[in-house]
Amino acid sequence: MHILKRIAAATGIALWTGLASAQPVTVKMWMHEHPPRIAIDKAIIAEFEKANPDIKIQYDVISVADYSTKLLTAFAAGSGPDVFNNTSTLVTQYFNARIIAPIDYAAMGLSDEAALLAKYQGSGFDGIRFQGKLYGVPTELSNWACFANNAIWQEAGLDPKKDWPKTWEALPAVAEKLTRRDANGVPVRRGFDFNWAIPGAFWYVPNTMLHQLGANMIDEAAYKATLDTPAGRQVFQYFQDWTGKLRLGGPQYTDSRTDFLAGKLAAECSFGVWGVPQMEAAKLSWSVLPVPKFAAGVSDNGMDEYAFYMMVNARSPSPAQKAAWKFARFYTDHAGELFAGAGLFVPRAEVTGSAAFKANPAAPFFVNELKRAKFSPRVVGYTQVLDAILRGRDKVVQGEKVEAVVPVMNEEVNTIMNRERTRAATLVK
Amino acid sequence: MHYKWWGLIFVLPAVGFFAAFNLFPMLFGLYLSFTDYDLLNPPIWVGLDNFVNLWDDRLFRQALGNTLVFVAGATVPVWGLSLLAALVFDQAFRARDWLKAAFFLPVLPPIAVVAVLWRVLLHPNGVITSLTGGWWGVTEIRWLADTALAPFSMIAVHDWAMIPFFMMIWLAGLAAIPPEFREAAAIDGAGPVRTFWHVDLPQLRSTAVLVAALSSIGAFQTFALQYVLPNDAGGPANSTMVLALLVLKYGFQYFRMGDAAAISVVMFAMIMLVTLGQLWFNRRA
Amino acid sequence: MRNHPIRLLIALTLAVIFAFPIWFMVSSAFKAEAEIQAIPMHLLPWDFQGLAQFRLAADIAPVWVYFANSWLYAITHVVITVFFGALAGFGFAKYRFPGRSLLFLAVLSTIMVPFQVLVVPLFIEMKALGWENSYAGLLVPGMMNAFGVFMMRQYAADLPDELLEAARIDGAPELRIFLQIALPLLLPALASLAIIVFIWAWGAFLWPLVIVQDKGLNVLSVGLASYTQPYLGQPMWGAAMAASTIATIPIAVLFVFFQRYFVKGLTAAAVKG
Repeated sequence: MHILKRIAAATGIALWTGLASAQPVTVKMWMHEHPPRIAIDKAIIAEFEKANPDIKIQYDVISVADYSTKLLTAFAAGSGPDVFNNTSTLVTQYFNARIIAPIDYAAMGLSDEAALLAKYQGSGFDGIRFQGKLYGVPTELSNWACFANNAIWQEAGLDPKKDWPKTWEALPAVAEKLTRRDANGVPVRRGFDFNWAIPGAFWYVPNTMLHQLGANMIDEAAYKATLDTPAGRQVFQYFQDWTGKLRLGGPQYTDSRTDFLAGKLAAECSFGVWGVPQMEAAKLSWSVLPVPKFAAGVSDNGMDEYAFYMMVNARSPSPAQKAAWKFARFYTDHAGELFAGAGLFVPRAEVTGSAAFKANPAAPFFVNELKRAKFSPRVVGYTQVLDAILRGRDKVVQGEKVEAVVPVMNEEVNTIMNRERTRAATLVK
Repeated sequence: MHYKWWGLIFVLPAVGFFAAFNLFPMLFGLYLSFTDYDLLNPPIWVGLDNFVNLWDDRLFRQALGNTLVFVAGATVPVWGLSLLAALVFDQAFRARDWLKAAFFLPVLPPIAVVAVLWRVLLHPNGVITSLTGGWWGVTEIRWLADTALAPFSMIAVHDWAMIPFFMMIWLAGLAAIPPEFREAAAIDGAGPVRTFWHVDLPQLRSTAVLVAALSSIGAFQTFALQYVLPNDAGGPANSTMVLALLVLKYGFQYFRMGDAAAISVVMFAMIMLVTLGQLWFNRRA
Repeated sequence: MRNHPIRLLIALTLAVIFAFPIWFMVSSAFKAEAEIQAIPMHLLPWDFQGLAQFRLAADIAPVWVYFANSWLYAITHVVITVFFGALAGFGFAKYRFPGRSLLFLAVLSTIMVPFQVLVVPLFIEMKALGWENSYAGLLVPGMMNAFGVFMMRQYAADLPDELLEAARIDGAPELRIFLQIALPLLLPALASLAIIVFIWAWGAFLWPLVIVQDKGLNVLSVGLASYTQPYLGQPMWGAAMAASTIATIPIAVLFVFFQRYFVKGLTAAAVKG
């Protein structure tokens, strides 16, 4: 009787585990809304599911405006996605809250970190390394450059390649030549404008300008705000003049990307290399141009770089996490297609050597720009800090004195950072 | 009389529901206001720190000021104008019912629709600009993008949506005045203003208090307009950030649940103060 | 009808000022995008679009899903609030059980509490129950409204006791007395309450905003915002106005057909209070 029971038990167990391993694992995946990339995502997912019949990917696209908030809300509610993409500015917050999991190389089918890094050329992983470990895989490394609408420039008798200003100081005059105004001086077609609609734009651009002046928004080492410096005031004064005295643009107008693609803006600087397919689709004749510098600037850097990383939810059940890492590797191995179809650049051989890369006229330019780009400072409490800086921006645009606004803003940012750091210290034990 | 226990049984579903989804959260919220809680990790007790820090919090102070301004602008004009409208529509005249129905239209759309609709209307180069500034050749008025104008726009939209509703309440109150009173005043030779002052107003006292209380409580809790109308919720440079919206920001954007709870406690206290003040005023006068 | 030219003039001005934005909304739903912000304003569409903007609204966002969810939300709230409000109101009004005043006071106190006080703890409660981002989480909190209990108690108190006593003497169980005697008599009040609750629930904004992440669960109020903040594109005003019109129609219909109940119930409850 004993042996029979044992056999029955063993069979039962074998059946049960067999069933369990045959159970499909569902991996919930969230990506932000970037229209050209969505079709490619779906193709990659279909391919992956065919090759891995026991893994099902539940794919959801979230609008950019809501994405970061929705992610946090979902994590807080315990219903966060298993695998998701997001930008480098927020990863510190995720890490501190222990939302993201360190890379599981075995689940990826790789031997170790070196094997993963070998696929990439360059330092794209810098933004996702915490305490020596990597917590995500880059799906996009990017920075912005400036684009001009050739048709509008020619119509004004200018040539973007020759007349594009080399300095921020020279920009207003050129923009004015390209601006059309109505009887009240209100610009009905702007020559150049900054991107006021995307909050993050006002993180990158001032950071870039400060880097050029040899300064910084945040001192990452000392973990202090360093906005209240002559350089900081100079940058905010620039934006105040832009919207006030010079009346060249501002937050009340349609955002710069939309107007540029609609052919209603002569130049703007918030597109990355991924913008080229969109401009082609909009049938624009465009030129890509380097970001201006300050006449007395000390650093020759372009726009700050940022990255999108694919990360895995540390609170998901283990099978889902393993499946998620497997998928993350599969997805990022398709870097070639993602670049060809959506212009998303990562420093991998299959991208830099691809036909699409060689055919994209802006690609070499961007690679060069990336070489001299810096990452913006990583802070905990990024959302609150950015809010404080946007408040400062809005006040300045409304006409309040820069000398009054900047110190207050600096103090607010310091308060936020101190608070978040104290709290983080009590958690990350 | 043993059937009296059925009463208890009948009220139990409702009472149970409120206990679970009103009273318990209320007490839990009070507890949260004494903690530091980011939803991702267990709450940390901090005592009165959240409340103390609120006073130093620039954003809170701004929201407090904005809220007081908004509540004032949303109650006083509403109270007065809805009463005036009620007086106009109270007597019969040609086409009155049609005009009254037209006047009542703002009550129909839900508040989210009101916000979206006015976002279109208040476009800086849009319809309202042309109807107002257009007379002086002004082509751009930044109704929702100017820190001085935006709060005013919020009040105006809110009042537009609320005045017809409160007019209905006034009309009901006016209808409850026995016509003999008015007739007696007419016999005494009193004109319309005198009649109103000496006959209508005293009779309308409870209605007046009701309108004041309802409109102020509603105004404290309004946030949908401030959320949808401006380009970023809370208006240009937080000029339209009100306490109700701040609770959302601290709770669901910054994930500082303890601070959000503390702000909501402050809101509750303010509403209680205003309501009790109105009741006391009613009792005294 | 005496002729009051001044009164008529004032009334006319008021009616125009207050009705004009609604007219703008509905007429814009039928205009071409470029015509909506045309200056001087076009009262009627010159380039009539038919239902094009409505179709566009459905393309941009699942507006009919939102519509269905709003109905679900409103109907559940109406049914639960009206039935259990009447039940509890009846219980409070006609039965003298120990603890009656205390319980009623407790119920009443919930009316005073602004929803902002509840929104954070309720969210955490939903998370603990596993109801976040689900129909349960969306519908259950607020499903019953203390105002309903309050209003029904006022009306139930007026029910003739003799009728109830007579039924009891005949041996009718209490529940039957409620269902077959009290409810029918309370019908007008129930109708008013139903309409009030429907309008509140239809316009609910804060709770759906907080609890829902999936588009498939969203209600109209929250979904409307997506027409004004799309990614990389002009806000589509025509579609926004079409969606807004869709969101307004049920209330408008209710008002047209049930105006008496609506106005009477609201004001009576308000004045009685």
